Amino acid sequence: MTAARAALWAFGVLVIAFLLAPIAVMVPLSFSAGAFLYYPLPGLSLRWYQDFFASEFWLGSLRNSLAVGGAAAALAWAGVAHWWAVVPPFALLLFASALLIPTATAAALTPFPAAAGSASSLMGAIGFTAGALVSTLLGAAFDGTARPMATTAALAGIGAFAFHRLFFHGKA
Amino acid sequence: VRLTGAWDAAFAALAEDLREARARDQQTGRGDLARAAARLNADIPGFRSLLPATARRVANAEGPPREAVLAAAPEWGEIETWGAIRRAAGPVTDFNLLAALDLKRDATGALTQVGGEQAIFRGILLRTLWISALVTLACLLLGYPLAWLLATAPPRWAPVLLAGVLLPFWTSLIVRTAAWIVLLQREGVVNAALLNAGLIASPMQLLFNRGAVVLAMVHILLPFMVLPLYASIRGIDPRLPRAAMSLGAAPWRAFLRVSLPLTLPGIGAGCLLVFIQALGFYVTPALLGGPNDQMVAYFVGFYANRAVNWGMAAALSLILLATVGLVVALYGRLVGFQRVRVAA
Repeated sequence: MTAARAALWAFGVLVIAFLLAPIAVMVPLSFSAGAFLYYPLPGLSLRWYQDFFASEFWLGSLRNSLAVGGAAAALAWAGVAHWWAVVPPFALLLFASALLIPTATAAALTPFPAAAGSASSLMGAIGFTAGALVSTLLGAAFDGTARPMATTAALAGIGAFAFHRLFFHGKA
Repeated sequence: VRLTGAWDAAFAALAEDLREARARDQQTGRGDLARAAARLNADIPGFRSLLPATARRVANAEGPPREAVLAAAPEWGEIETWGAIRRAAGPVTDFNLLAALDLKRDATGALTQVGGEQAIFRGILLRTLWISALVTLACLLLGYPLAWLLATAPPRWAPVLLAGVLLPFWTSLIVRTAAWIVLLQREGVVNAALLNAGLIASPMQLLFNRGAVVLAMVHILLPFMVLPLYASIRGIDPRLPRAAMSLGAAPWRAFLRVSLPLTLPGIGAGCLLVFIQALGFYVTPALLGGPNDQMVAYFVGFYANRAVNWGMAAALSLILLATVGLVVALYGRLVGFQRVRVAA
């Protein structure tokens, strides 16, 4: 390994350490016995995990987000006026989008390195435009319930799935 | 003489309108007068109390309207007070957009600079651009070598390194911002480490300043720089730099003249992604910055949530959007969108 290569490795590992350090710092804090984000830890404990698993609030949302998932629209239309009919499915939706969108961006850019700039600005533009259109429609359809929102999310999901089946099935 | 007549008519109309609005508000409790006063107060501070006070005094006044209004509040003798009403008259106004650029119209409709302490928005826009440019540059300097390492690492290590870049990518922005508070606060990890190492005698103020904002923004946006760079470095035909070196170029020369130009589209894409996202940052400066580190998005939030001045919030958003459009247009001009055709 040349000196330049070793320097590249050292620099790269340092930058990755910079990227991971804040996350590494947060994980032990979840075992803290104290109530503040503070080092050194006043003691180790599982109280926050105990809180999480003992609390109807958190556990309810966890269970529901695992179980209810895509039924958001159905529940909303059925008139279930409870917050758990809306929050966990949307939490799941947002969680899934957070996993999907950056990966999809990177995956979409990889085959076209020469057009990466145009592609990324195009994706941004499409995102902005779709957001503007959807929020305009949502605003027009707003009736004081979560129905328009849930329906839009469900329609967008079905649309994306249909798009994939129609154009890309078996080709990827 | 005719001018005096016109003024008399204007005073009479004002007195009449104020009496009517006051009577209607008292009947229906709708608060039209207060709403009008709030809108005019955004133009000339003091209108919030001036309008209701004038209405109250004029309601019971006798005699010619001009004298009654002037007796109620001497401000009505100044042309600017009437200018504010004229500027707020139509259904459409450029008042907020101009205010977001530290401009206003005087009573004759001519553009003038907003003076003194009210002229803040150009500075905020420049600060937003400056912070975003700094963050973009830092991301490029940190990200390029990392992307090069990712693209050229042996297959055993490449996925591990890539996971190191993607893991923070999937972590919530708020969690990462909070993590920087843990690291940088007065009794935080960084201060404790420096104290223990004996490098400093007392804790340093690392939080609530420009450095903390830039550091955390670089941390959050770095993956957006690394991934397009990684894609474009992977796309280089390895025979090209090898050919340059076999023709006698030193490795650094082969990099500068062959490999680096081939990755320019990736550099452009990464810089564009990072810069545009940095322009809209809100939570990170709000939590880690001081009062002089807040960016345009913070003031959009302030006007929408706290000042309940949606006109101003919309005007600031529009200016931010126009800035993004300008940056994208500039990118098209300098780097070019015609590379789509090259790839196709």
